[in-house]
Amino acid sequence: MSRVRIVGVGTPFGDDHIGLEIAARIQSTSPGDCEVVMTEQPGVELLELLAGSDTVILLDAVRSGAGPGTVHDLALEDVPRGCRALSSHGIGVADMLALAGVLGGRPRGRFIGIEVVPTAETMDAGVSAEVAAAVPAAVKRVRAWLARWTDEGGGAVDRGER
Amino acid sequence: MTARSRTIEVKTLARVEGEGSLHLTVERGEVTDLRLEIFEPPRFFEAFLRGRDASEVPDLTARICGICPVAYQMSAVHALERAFGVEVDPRVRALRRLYYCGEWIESHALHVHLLAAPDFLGCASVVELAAKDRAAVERGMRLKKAGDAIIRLLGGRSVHPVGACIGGFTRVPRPAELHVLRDTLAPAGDDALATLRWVGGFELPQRHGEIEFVALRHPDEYPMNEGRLTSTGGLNAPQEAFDSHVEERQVPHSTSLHATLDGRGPYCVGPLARLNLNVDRLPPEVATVASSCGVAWPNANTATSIIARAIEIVYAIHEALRLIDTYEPPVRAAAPVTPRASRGSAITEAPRGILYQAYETDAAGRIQNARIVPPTSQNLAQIEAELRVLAPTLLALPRAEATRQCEALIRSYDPCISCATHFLRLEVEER
Repeated sequence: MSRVRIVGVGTPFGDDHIGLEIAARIQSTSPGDCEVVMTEQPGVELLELLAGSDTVILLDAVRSGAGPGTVHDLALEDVPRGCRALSSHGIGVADMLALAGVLGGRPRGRFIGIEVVPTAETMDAGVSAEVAAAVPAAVKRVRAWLARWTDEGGGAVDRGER
Repeated sequence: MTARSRTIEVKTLARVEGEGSLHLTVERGEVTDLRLEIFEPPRFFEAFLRGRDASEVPDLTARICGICPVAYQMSAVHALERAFGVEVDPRVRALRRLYYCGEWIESHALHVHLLAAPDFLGCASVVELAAKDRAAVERGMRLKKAGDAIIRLLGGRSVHPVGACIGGFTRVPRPAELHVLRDTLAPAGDDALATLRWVGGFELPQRHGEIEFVALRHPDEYPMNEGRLTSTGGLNAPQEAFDSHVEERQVPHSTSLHATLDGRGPYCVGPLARLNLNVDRLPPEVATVASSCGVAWPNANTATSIIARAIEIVYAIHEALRLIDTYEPPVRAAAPVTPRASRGSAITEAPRGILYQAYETDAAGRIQNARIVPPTSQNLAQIEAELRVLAPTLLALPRAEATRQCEALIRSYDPCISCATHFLRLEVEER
């Protein structure tokens, strides 16, 4: 069993940085029970990051209509797919998770998404206060899953909350 | 029959940083409003490149695009080498061509297999395609990896590569490294041929229209880093004359500029334009397979872009292997550079078409002015023109099909829309 891989997804822009920020927080406080990687390129490259471990926690900004800063915690296979991209530049996390599912390269694990506000004004402004306030809760979720899998002796990662 | 007004909105929501959407209004069979709204980042780069040292430009411009960083680096280094009067070793030139092959392969493989192919096979997405034809998608992934391997070797890494610099590369590979690369690439040649046979069998829509295609043309080679600016409408000018032929204008609905050629109107750049203008520059082995896929070149049906891309994958692998087999390590990785107050511009063939960059420097080599004209902003007016031709035929179609056809048309240009994810909304207004 490989170590759990934490994959932070994001860009330097505004709230979209949140996935990277949480990953960085995990990394700086990690007692070595996981491996942290970060990517600004959640396209096809993500397939290789996913394939590199059999248990993964993916961290990313999401929009579902919930309030900013809401923390979503889903099994990887339950991440809903958005609509299809119009260009190669639009291939994203959900597409790659679904594709990995079909091609057989999808690890077990969790998707932890932070609800963000995508306005043009926040682009160069850094993570907004209400989204940044979700960091401790998201970090706690990650830690809880790591602890649970460790307790289970690195065994099965099931779909539900049990 | 009552007058019908229909508004089709393809709303695109960004990951966060980008935004773009298609808004289309058709009244009584006439398009009364059509706007492809694109948020496009390179404009900001022009501003923040000012004051930077010229040596930083290749690394900075490589960040403009995650899919085609090599193209941004190549136009940048050629423009600045012209500004500073740098002579590049022909062996470095060959390596740059190899570097560009890598990007064409990875970018085209991604688009052909993951984006465009589902449009012609009745699949909603690549996920559905993978369930139906897993081998084809896996072949696409292998091809992309082969292209990435080239970029990784010459650029130091495949994402945001850093290897290119003014005068050459920061490091050139040892012959042994190219031997390893050759072993990776050689099997990709068969994959590329299989992909070309595959897309050659697709039933493509017939899109008709008068389109002026623009691409570089080199005396002997299929164009990448060099060549004159040519068009199917008779343009034949040195690269430096780009500005006097292409006019960029602002349109209220887009942060991207719209380009027109010699006052004639929109034009098309990209793989189809390259092939249309340079089919006689393909080596005989590639020309033979290109002519055996059921499409005559040149042709103006933009749906055949997928075949043009597949042909260019075959070509790029063929060319990469040739360059590896004839490789002689340059004596110096990079020619010495002496900055000066000057100006220089260059066009290279990015996977999506010609990419123009122009720079003015001061005596210390700091950037005073930067101009970046990416292929997508050149294609936008053409995409709108083609959507305008398509639009009247959409009225009679079910909503989902109308949206699908608009999307497929836009996808055949593979526009660079700021790394956005897209949600679709179709609004129908009937009166």
